[in-house]
Amino acid sequence: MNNLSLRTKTFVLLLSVVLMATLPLVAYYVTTARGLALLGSDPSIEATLSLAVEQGSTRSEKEEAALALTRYRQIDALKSGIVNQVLLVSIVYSGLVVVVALGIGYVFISRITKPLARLTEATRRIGDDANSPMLAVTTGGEIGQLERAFNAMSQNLARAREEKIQAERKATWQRVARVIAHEIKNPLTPIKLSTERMYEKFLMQSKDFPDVIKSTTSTILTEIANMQKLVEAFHTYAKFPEPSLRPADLNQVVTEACTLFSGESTPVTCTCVEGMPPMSLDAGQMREALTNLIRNGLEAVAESGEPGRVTVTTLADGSQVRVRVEDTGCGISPENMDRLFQPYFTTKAHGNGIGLALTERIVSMHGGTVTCESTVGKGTTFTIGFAAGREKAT
Amino acid sequence: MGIIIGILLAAKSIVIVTGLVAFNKAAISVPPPTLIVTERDVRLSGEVRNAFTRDLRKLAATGAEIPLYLYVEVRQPRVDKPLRTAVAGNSLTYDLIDKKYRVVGSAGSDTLWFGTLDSAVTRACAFGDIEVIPLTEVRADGQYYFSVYGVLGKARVEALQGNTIDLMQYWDYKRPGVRTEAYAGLVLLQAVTPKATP
Repeated sequence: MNNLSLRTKTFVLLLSVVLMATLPLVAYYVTTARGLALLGSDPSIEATLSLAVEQGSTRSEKEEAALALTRYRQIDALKSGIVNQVLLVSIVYSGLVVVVALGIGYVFISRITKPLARLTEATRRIGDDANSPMLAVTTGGEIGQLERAFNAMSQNLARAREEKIQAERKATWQRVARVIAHEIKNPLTPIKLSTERMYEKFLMQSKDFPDVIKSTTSTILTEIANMQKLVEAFHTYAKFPEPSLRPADLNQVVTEACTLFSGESTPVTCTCVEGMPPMSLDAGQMREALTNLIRNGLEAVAESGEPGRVTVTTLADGSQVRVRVEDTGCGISPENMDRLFQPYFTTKAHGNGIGLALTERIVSMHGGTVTCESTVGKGTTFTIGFAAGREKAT
Repeated sequence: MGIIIGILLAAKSIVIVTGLVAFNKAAISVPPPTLIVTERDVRLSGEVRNAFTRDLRKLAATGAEIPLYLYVEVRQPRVDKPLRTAVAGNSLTYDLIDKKYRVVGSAGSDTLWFGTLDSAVTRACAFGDIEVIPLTEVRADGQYYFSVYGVLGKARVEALQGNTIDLMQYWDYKRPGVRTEAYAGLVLLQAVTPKATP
């Protein structure tokens, strides 16, 4: 009963009221019909009248008694039709009353519950949808007030959402600026020092000037290369192409990604499930996504300072295809979990915050999801999930 | 629970009422009539089967006069209006003093008395020698068929202060009837039956 909609509950209530109002009427008619049924059915009266007909002394007495008997028998003969008509009329009339009352009630109930249903739907959409739904105010009274209040709330929510987006955008730009400034500042210091040293040796006309030129130039070029790499990473994330989907074997992509790390001191093991359904993938992009996760795992193991391993597993589970990348590294602190896939967010000294963001973007463009579970000091598990039988990225 | 029982009782009442109505009127019919062509005219004999339903028999037993008619229409194919119409009627009455059933024909035939309702009903439902069309009106190149149907008349009811009721309600206001095949006029003219020798 608790799960019934308001419309159903109100309708049941209305039905109960109508039946309670109608059934006594039917009961009254039935009682009346029973009373009618008793008319003309008394055998003693009939016997008396028959006797009167037989024993009448004159013809006129007999005819008078016969007329009375006729009337009495006719009451009996006609009563069944009358009783049936009373019953039929009462039942048909009661049925009509029920149908009409329920019809009118249904219209009124709909007028009440429809706006509430729209309100419920709009409230549900507020949670799901970025757009704040607005309701057309179709009625007055309390429901109209409720609709107007909802619209005002929806407008406020939309404003708050917009403000939040603006604030997040501002914060992202600030973070990007900070990361870029930091990443550019790091190579600038050795470049500056190398240039100053070179200039100083030149002024002093030092004998080891050629050697200094050689070493400082090398330093400057290395730092410039680092800066180029940084710019390249940002560029890659900003201008990442759409995946070119082709039928591919996910197991093979995973194996190829693992093979890239075969020379690492930390072992990378790969376990592929048999019977992997065919999928449409951009093998290159997916390999890059997996490479980022494996590299992340290796760095986490290295950071923990203890020997560990990275395990990559593929799973096909009916409706889901998954790739799991587990490491036994240092883990991720809970406060960083929410920002894990944010671009340019990093906790590493030399990281640029692109790897995981790029991975999430690649998987998302393939219609999949990336989830992360981590325990500090024990390790992290990233899981990439796709719907099985997926032919096209959404 | 009371409400449910009430609904079930109401539904049952409808079923009973409609069932009784159906039971009373199920078998009322008019079988194909018999045609007799005499030297002067075409005559027809027919009957209404099961005309006296249970309720009608009950009413007849009260002494009310029950008139029953057999209508015969002579029609021609593709003509809406009947060429001729003939009506024969019998009325059945129970005499409470003499305790006998009386059947009187509308064609001026003798009054017949019966000891039982069944025998009286059998006679009241039978209609013989109805003159439907003179042979002089039958064209040799014409086509004729006969539409026969039964009708109940009105009965005076003493219990209703002498008012009449339409007895067709006992037939649910439906006329039982039958239509013969079409006869060629020439066939009717050639099928004259010689008068029986008395």
